[in-house]
Order: sequence, then C-alpha cells, then structure tokens
Amino acid sequence: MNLINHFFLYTGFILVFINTLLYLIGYKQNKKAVAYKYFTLYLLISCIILFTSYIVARIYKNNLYVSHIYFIGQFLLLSLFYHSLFKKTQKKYIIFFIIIVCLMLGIQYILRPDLFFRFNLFEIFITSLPLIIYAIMHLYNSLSQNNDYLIINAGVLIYISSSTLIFILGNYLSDLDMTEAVRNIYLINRILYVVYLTLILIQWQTSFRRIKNR
Amino acid sequence: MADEFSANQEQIIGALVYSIIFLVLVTLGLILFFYYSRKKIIEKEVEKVNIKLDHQKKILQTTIKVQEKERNRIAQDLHDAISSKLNVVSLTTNVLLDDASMNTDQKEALNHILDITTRTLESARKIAHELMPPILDKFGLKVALEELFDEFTSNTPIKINHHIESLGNLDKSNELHVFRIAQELINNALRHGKADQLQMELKKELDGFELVFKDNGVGFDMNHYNKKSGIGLQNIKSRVAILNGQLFVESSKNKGSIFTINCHSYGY
Repeated sequence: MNLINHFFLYTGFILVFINTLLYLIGYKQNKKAVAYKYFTLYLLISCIILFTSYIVARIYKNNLYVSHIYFIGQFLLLSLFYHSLFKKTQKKYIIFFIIIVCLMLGIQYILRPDLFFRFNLFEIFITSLPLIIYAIMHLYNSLSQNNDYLIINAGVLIYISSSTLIFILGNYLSDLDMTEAVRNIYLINRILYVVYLTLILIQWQTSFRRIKNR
Repeated sequence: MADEFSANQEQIIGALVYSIIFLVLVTLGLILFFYYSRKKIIEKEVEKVNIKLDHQKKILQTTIKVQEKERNRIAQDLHDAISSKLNVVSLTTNVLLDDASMNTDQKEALNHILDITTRTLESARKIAHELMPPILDKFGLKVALEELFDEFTSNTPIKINHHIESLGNLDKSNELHVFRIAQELINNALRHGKADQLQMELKKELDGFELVFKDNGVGFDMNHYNKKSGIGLQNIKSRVAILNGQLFVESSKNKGSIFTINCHSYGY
C-alpha cells in the first residue's frame, strides 16, 4: 500500500514538472492566446507550491500554511483562465466572484489570523465552488460553439470537486492518527491529481503539439 | 470506548471514500452528458446544412432542365414563327423582282429588302442553331460532337484529338447534357486555360459511358476548385448530377487538367 502511495506521489511530481515544462516550451507559439498564458502560469505556480510544500513538510512538519497560497493562487489564476475563455456577460460574473472572494477572505484573516495554520474550510469552499461553476459554464458554452481546453476543463471539474470534499474534511483527518483508512483517502486524492495532470498532458498533446509541428 | 471511537471513525472515513467516488462519477456523468449533447447538436447542424445543399443542387438542376426546355421552345418558335414568315417575304420579293414593269429605283429597294431578309434569316438560323443544335436532334451525339470540334478547329490553331463512340442507349435530353458538358469543357479550356491542344474521349461502357477530357492549359489550384468554382464548372457539375454520374477533376498549376466523367445507369 505504501508503495502505491509513493508511486502516485512521485508520478504527480513528475507529471506536474513535465506539464509545466511542456507548456512553457509551447509558450512562444501560443503567445497570443491569453488563456494559455494564465494556464501556464497556473501550472508553474502549482509546481513551485508542490515542491515547496514537500520541502517544508520535511523540515517543519506542518506545511498547511502553504495550502492557503495554493487555494488562493489556484482560484485567481483559473478564474483569469476562464475569464479569457468566456463571453462578455459571463466575464462579469468572474470579476464579481474574484472581488467577493478576495474581500471575504481578507476580512476573515484580519479577524482570525490563527486560521492560517489550519485548513481553512471557508477558504477551501469559497475558492473551489466558483471554479466548479466556471467549469460547468464552460461545458455549457461548448454546446453551441467549438471550444478549446475541454479536456483541461473535464480535469478541473473532476479534480476540484472531489479534492474540495477531501480538503474540507482535512482538519478532521489531520487530527486523526495516520491509520490505513486515512492514508487511503490521501491516496485517492493523489490518484485524482495524477488523473488531472494526465488530462492536462493529453490536452497539450492534442491541441498544442500540432501548432509546434506546423 | 476507544474501540467505539475507532469504529465510528472508520464509518466516517468509509462514507467519505464513497462520497468521493460518487462525486467523481457524477462529474464524469455531467461531462459525458455535455459531450454527447454536443455531438448530437453538431450532427443536427451538419444534417441541416446537407439538406440545404441538396436543395440548392436540386434547384440548380431544375434550372438547367427548364433552361434547356425554354431554349428548345425559343428555337422552335424562331423557326416556326420568324424563319418561315421571312421565307415568304423573300419569295414574294423575288416574285416582285421578276416583274418587268418595275423601275430601277423600285428594284433597288426590293433588292435591299431581299438582302436584309436573307441576312435576318441567316441570323435567325444561327441563333436557333446555338440554342438547340439541330444536328444533335437529327444525327445524334457523335456527329454533333464532331461538328462542334470542327467549329472550334476550323479557324484557329487549336487541335482537338477525339475519339467518340456512339452511345445507342442515351435518350435525347441526356445526349443534350453530354453535348453541353463537352461544349462547356472546351470553352473553359480555351477561355480560362488558354489551351491549344485538347483531347476528348467518349467511351461506351456496359451500362453507361465514360468521358475523358484533357487539356494542356494553365490548370488551376485544386483547393480553390473545391472551395469555389465558377458558373461554368457549376453547370458541368449539375449536368453530371442530372446524368447520375460522377465527376473527377485532376489539375495543378501549369500542368493542364483532366476531367473524367463516369456515368453508369444514367436516367434510371
């Protein structure tokens, strides 16, 4: 079991690294696509956060405060990513969401700075829900027109929705002992993360590799 | 107590595992639902476009059929109503000219009338001929095509190699379509292709025929051909469709073009 756990952990590391590298390489060809820029930035930041959190966990044991950067960064960059894909009226919703979320989180952290060292349930919920809404909106848009990034979108929908559930129970889980059952839950999260990264890789393979060969 | 707590914990975690799996399946279902809806919508759109295109094709084919019918009628009317009457005029003038009591001025006027009548007759004949080649009606496709080639080659340096087999089992209106296709192909090759060497073969086959036309003109870009073709080519396509045939075009810049028309079981 431990072996499988480690396998998915390191596959995740390798995939996030490869994805970031590939999207950075294709950056020049896709300079004009704003969505591509934001997504590359998102990959780069999640890559950095993943490695830092791994190192921080090794040194200080508690790496939970890195998660806040991850959630907020993910929310902002994916919001901008969808912002560049959406139509005019839909863009307004995204701006509205970004402002509301930033405002609420700012107020919360001013009032309760101690939340910084735990999983902040409110933060997880409020930064993930808009992303799921965007993903469904993007799916809806794809009905009437030919849309790009559908594979990434599917990955976002599956991974964000299920990982949100896991993280929301994160405080409860981190209080428990590391039993087999708890490990299994983190394993599921890792597997889903690997699936998500694989979908991103497939998206690159199908949409952006061809541009390179032209 | 500790056992109870642990059992409780196990239950919660079990529920969590199932809810995660459930969530994944639901989102997957959502994605598949959108995917298949999208596929269906696209299929419907394609169907709609195809119906529209079919309709347009049918309109074009009907237009050509009606056009031919109308041409035939005009040619007939020209012959019946104008040419025959003009013949009477010309005959009567000739009778008048034979009259000895006429003075020179009058004779000159009559000669002028005769001259104009003859020219008008000639024009009417030519127009009727162009509208509906009578030779096609009387002697069939082979002779009509050979005459067509002669018309093009007689006063020009153009050479047309031809091998025409007579097709016994083609009805009159279809013969006319083949004739028009040949006419249009030659016209196109000369006007747009600037060709001076043409080759046309009409071969009879078991249940149809094959028409192969080659020229040494400038040719054209096939990509352009597929996107947008001129009225001439559009006409050829429609006529081939009326004949239930298939049109194959091979061409590239400066290498001439080859048109192949395959018709099996036309008209049935």
